[in-house]
Amino acid sequence: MQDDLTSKIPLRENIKNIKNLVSYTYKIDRSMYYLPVIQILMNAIKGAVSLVLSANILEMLYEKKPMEEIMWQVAMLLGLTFFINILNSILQNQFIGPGRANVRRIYDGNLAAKYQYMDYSLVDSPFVRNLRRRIYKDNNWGSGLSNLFWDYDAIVSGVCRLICSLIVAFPILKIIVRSHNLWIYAGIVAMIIVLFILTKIVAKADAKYNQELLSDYWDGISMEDFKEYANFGWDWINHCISGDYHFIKDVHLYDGFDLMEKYTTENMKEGEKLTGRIAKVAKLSGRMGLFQSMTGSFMKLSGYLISAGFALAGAFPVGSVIKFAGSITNVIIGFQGMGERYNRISLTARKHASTMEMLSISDEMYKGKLPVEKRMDNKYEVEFCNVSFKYPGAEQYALKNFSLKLRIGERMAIVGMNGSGKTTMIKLLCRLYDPEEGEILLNGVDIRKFDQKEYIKLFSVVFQDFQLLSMPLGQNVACAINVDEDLAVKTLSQAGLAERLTQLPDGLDTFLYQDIKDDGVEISGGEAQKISIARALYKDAPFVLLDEPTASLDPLSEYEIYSRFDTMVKDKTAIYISHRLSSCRFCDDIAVLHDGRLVQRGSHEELLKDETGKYYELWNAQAQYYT
Amino acid sequence: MKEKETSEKQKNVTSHQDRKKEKKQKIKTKYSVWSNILYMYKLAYGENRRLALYHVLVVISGCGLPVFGILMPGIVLEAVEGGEFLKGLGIIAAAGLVMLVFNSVNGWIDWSTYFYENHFRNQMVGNSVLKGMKCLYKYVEYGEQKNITRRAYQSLQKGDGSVSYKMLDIPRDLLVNFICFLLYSTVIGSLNIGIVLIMILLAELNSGVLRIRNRWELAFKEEFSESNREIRYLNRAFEDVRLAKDVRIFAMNDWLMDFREETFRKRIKLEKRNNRKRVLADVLQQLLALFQNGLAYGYLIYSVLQGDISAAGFLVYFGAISGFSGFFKKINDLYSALLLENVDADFFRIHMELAEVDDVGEVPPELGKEPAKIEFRDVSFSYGDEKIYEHFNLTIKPGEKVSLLGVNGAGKTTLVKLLCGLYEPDEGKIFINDVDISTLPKKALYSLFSVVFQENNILPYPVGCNLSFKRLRDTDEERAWAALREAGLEEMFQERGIKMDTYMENIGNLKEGVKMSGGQEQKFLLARAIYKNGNILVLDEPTSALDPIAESEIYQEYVKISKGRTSLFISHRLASTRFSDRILFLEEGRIKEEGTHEELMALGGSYAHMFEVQSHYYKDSVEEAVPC
Repeated sequence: MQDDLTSKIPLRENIKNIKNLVSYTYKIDRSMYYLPVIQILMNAIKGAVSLVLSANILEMLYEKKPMEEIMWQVAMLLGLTFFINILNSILQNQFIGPGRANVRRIYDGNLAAKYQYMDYSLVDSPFVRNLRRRIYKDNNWGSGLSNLFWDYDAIVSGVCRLICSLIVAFPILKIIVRSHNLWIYAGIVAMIIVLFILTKIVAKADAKYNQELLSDYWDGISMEDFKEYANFGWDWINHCISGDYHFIKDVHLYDGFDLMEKYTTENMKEGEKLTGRIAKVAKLSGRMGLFQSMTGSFMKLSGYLISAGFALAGAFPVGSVIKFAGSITNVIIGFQGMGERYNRISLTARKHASTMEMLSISDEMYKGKLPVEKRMDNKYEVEFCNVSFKYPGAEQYALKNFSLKLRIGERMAIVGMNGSGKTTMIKLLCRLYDPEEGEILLNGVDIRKFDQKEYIKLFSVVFQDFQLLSMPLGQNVACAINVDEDLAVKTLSQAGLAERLTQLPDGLDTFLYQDIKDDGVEISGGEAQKISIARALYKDAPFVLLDEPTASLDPLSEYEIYSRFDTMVKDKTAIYISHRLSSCRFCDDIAVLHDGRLVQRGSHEELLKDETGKYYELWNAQAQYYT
Repeated sequence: MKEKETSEKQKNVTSHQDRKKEKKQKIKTKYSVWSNILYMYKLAYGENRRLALYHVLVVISGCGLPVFGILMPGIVLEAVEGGEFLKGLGIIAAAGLVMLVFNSVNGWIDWSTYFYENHFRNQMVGNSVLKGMKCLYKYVEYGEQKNITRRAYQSLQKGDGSVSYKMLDIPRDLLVNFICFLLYSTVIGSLNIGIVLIMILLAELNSGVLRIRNRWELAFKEEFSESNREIRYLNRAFEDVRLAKDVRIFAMNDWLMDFREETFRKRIKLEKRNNRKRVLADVLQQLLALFQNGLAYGYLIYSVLQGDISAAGFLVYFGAISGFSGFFKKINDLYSALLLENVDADFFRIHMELAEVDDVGEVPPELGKEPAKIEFRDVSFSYGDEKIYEHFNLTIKPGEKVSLLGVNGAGKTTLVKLLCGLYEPDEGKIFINDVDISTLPKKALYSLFSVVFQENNILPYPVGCNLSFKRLRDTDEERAWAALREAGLEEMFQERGIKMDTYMENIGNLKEGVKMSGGQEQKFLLARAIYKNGNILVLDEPTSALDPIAESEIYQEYVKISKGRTSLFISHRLASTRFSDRILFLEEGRIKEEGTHEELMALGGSYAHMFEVQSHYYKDSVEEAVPC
């Protein structure tokens, strides 16, 4: 069963959730908890003083005091309001507003960044994927972290207003307590009971509404119906709306319009009919609104009745009726709202519990501290010893009892069919994953013992699905804000982009693509490929790994890249993976992988001699068309 | 031309103030605000008729609330002044109960409406996504419309700030505020019409301050949107799983973090700079409020002391005056918010009113002749300013197998899209079986083709739907299995127990999703093409990510299914040209070379060069090959 937000949880967990969220945001910027207190206190004082001064004015009117005297009170009232409002504006606009927006940005940003700060093996793991889905679901309704601020403010202002109102209402409260009148006591008790019941009803309506809103509404629906009408929640529609249009041409050419209608609007409608959810939630939503407003009005009315009753009984002058009515209402609201505020911040904290869980994921892989020996001669030796590995959740081994020693300073090619374990090998070598069995040695030491940050510096990789960012070209090459411009220009030229670089409007500062800047340049697949190679060269690592980097290039660009790369890597150790066996041919050492094992190794000529071997089969599958 | 001239003249005549107004309303929309409001309401009531009743009730109860707000204190005071205990409390209780009922009804209706209106957003999201698929393809992929569609989608993704919600909400609010404004004006006007005029003047000054503030803030708009864009992009990049490998190899996370820090720092500064103007505007507004309240207090206190009004009246009038300017301000705010929202509404409406792929029109019988003949006659086509084809001519004979070759960006895929009618030529005509395709209804044209594109467009639907692109009940199961068999997938599917209603992805509690390798996915797409059994077969680089053996298998499938059909094969792997009747070598929108493999090799041009480059390592010994 999925963890949903509506089940009951023990108080201790509630408190823990709140504590986690508050302390995390507190650490980002503690002043965002202090400053609002000042602001709220100021406003509470303004409210209380206004009540008193307005009552004074009213009383003076009844007493027919001279105009001048009354206007003094007015001046005080207006002056104070003016002064506090200005202070408020400064505090809000210059400190609290921007400060909180920043906390929100950092919070959201840290969540996003977490995916790139955890172990690679975790990023796409079922655990993280589920957590991600939960976070998405939990935040589907509501306003993110802003809710926390609102809840916090509501609690602080509740307390401040309660205190101020108690002070203002003190005289009438004293009268009530000292009245020794059973009728009055009975009336007050009756009012409290009604209010208590109303509050309960509101809380219940609220809980029911939220439960229905946040629950998985396919619960209790038969599997057949689910299969027929599930529209993949909003995942699929969100996917379409986020701008993937590539599949649309297939929809057109295969006349899939009717199918699309089913999986967008129709399933939504049918699903709603089936679950009856919309009508149900709307009803609950309306009911909650009804009782909320009713309770609010009831509290106001109670204030009026109590205050007016005592005034009519002659306990205080008419002029103070409004003041006492207002302050009594505030006292009642203050007490009544406490439970609600606790509930609200609990819900907020609970909605963010999944985010907190994500943010607190710690790395699973053992991380050594051993520094990597710096060698100017690049004499690093790597060896796979009997390595077995399968991807999390997979049944088949991606690599099984795999042993391989890389020769220093040489070019090696790795060939094999899709799924034979070529890319897996690279991933293990870079410690994106750890082997299940066996070990990988660097100069005879298990790579797990090295400091990962240092270890990864030994490798430059161009993956098949390499990615560039919509950032300045120079930064894309350097992978840092500070770019060694000479080196960047040099590596870009080596990769064959010297001419293109001179055409760019801002040179290295030109943005790639147009996600961030409208004047960013669009680059072709071939150019992107070359930039990714420049990036690998800029890193200047002793190992260079190329994983099928030319699949989408035309033959000429492909040839250009391969022939260049050979000269660019110079004395480094290089590994090539390619489906184009022809491009591996200049390697003296070719390893053939099949089903996660090393099945053949040798030079092209040697391997081709074995006519029953995998290499022969692969080679001929392609070569037959070229001879 | 004429229109331009007259408008030019008019501009000169318009007064200085009008011109200022024009400057303010830079935003031009296709439809007027009122027309868009009407449009949105029609849509909403079309989806949910009950909403109309709710709206009426919301307006009525919404107008009632503020009235009670100012009347209640007066009633209480009056009752207390009366001095009779029971009667006084009775009056208050009675008035209070009416208030309570009004309030409760308002709360009920308001929340129900809120939910239905939010749900209306979901419906509009569904409708607009569907529209994005159904509209003519030329709107989907390039040109200005793509931006409009993107904006339309964005306008629906703002939660409670979405256009579907705002365009219902703001006009309704406007109406409530306007009615209240009139009510309050009448109350104050009954006392002194002069006060009303002064208050309107003050409120107008107040709006003036707001307008100035908005103009000040406009100067920061560009910076804000740039900053938003950066932040959004950074978060997207951080969340992008595809980046994860590169990030870890090149320590890109630290780079992104540094960039983010810089961006955030700039953002705070920007907000503070922007907000300084707000503080200034607040000071001005507070000064106006000070003056207004001082005046109101002075006048009302004077009136009470003169005996013109009672103390209870004082409370009511004072409440009316403070409320009054609030409504005036609100009307101003709402109206400018409405104008702003109308921009989004316009995007949404233009998107929703796009022309759809149609089914009506005459289809000449010769169109279906098999195999088909294709002719491009003098076709020109460009993406924006970039010319792809100029006066392009090509004839493909019935049943001919053609290979399209060329470097990246030579326009191969564009040619396919033009042929299928996804794109429309700027000039020239395309004929299939001598029928001009621009005269055909799109669906009839589309029905001619079986196309496999480069991207792997397998959708998260059941297997059967993915093969037929129809509902499961409209899928011919036998034909589907036959297609799988022909594509070489039947065995694998049966072994794994995959059925036509097995989903392609894990959804909900279903964990049955079909997982396929790259080669199998390509074969699946081929099976889709086989199922459709189109007259013309087009394969656009189906093998680029495949290993040699899978690649070779796809070639063999192709040879099988292309028999007796006119077919086009696009590939980087020149091997594919071996089983074509004719090779077209495209360069810069022209056919540079054409002929059979042997002919082109003999010609010794670009094709021969490309073939040499790709094949020289396959030759028996490397020395023999000629590198470039």
